Amino acid sequence: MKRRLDAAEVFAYVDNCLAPAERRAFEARMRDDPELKREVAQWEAQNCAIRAAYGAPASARAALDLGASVNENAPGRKALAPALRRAPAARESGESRAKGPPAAPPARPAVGRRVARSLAAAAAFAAGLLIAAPPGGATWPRDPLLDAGLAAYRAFAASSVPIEFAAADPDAATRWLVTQFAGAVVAPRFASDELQLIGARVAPGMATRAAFLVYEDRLGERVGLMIEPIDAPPAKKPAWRETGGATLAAWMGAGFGLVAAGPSREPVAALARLAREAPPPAR
Amino acid sequence: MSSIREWCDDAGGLRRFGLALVRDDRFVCDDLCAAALVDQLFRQASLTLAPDRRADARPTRARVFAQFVRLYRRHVRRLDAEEGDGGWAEGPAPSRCANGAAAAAVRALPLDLRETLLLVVLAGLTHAEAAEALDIPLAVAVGRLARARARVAAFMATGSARAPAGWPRAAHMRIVK
Repeated sequence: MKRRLDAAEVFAYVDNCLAPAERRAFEARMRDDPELKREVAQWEAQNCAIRAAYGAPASARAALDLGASVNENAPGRKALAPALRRAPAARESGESRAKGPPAAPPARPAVGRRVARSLAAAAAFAAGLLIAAPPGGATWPRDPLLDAGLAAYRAFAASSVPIEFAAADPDAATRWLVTQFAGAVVAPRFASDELQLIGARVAPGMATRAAFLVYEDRLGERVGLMIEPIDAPPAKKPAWRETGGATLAAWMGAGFGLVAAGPSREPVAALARLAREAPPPAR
Repeated sequence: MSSIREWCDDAGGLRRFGLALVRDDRFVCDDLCAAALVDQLFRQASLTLAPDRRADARPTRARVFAQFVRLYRRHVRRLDAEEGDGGWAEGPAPSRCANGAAAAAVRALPLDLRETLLLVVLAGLTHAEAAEALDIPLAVAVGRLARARARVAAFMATGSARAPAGWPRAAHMRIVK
């Protein structure tokens, strides 16, 4: 006697869509039919290959449920998955996805486990920070003023970036800055011609907007001077930092935070010296 | 009804499904994931304001995946309309294959077969839920599933999307004693 076996039944078994009684009957039939068993194994292997290719859980029983109170992007997901991601034994439609005995309903993680997960996440984050910035070898300035100066230098001092206001004369730059900062910032007039002013622009500072003056040295290298008005800053000597191919010097005083930034130490040192020797701007 | 926070926590599965469906276009995937989740948030909020048991009968998870599929179909239709082909097809599958033969085989599938296969295998929907998500009869969904699986198997065996000679076009029926 021959009978037709719809492939839909095979797929329903492979995809865990059969009711428990149907599943048991199918498994009994599979025991007597090696070809059917081989076919089922082939489709199950294909399912596993597709899930593995996209990083999904290996079993359909661990299918994602938007009702689960688990963040799969958090560390420790795999360890928690078997306990927390068990699907209910029966679905509303009467179909079942569970091969074994009925599974317990998904339980919310206990407070202790949440705390442990948070601690594990914090430890992983701290480890990541240590890897990214090993102690003693800091590669990124911690000073927010240096951060702002570095960002402004990288964004606006490159030769490909046009100058917002081109001016070779500090007085002309000051007249433009007056309109931007209500007279709070002036372009310093240097005592020597080591550095030539080529323009000015407004840049984000540490806490507010700042003036960013761009200079060129005799070799054509660009250096930048960021001047940010700050209310009563403590006087600070220049702090030097070399990071990411840039050299920075930051100092405070006379109501301003200043950062000199350039590609190497010599032009930056010259800019910092000239800026500190220049007469303080009137506020 | 699950809280918003609970099912938003587990949206990574939707993104994984989305990446597979849109063939690794992360920008499109993220846009559609966000749109599908926001749609569900609005729906959940409206149901909270005016509870309707009939409207909430369909599982939330299946609804979100179905919404993603609908949004991606709309995206493909819009692309086709903009490019003036007049057809209803995506562009060629990207040649870069980062996830091995299985992912390459899935990417090579046409959209209707791919969405059916991924809804069942990656999203974990039942056949009935997948058929409902795609607005097609159950038999059509199972037929697509069979064709998709045959094509993926052929691709993984031969490296070509075309089924080899002698391979059943759709493994619909099998004669057993």
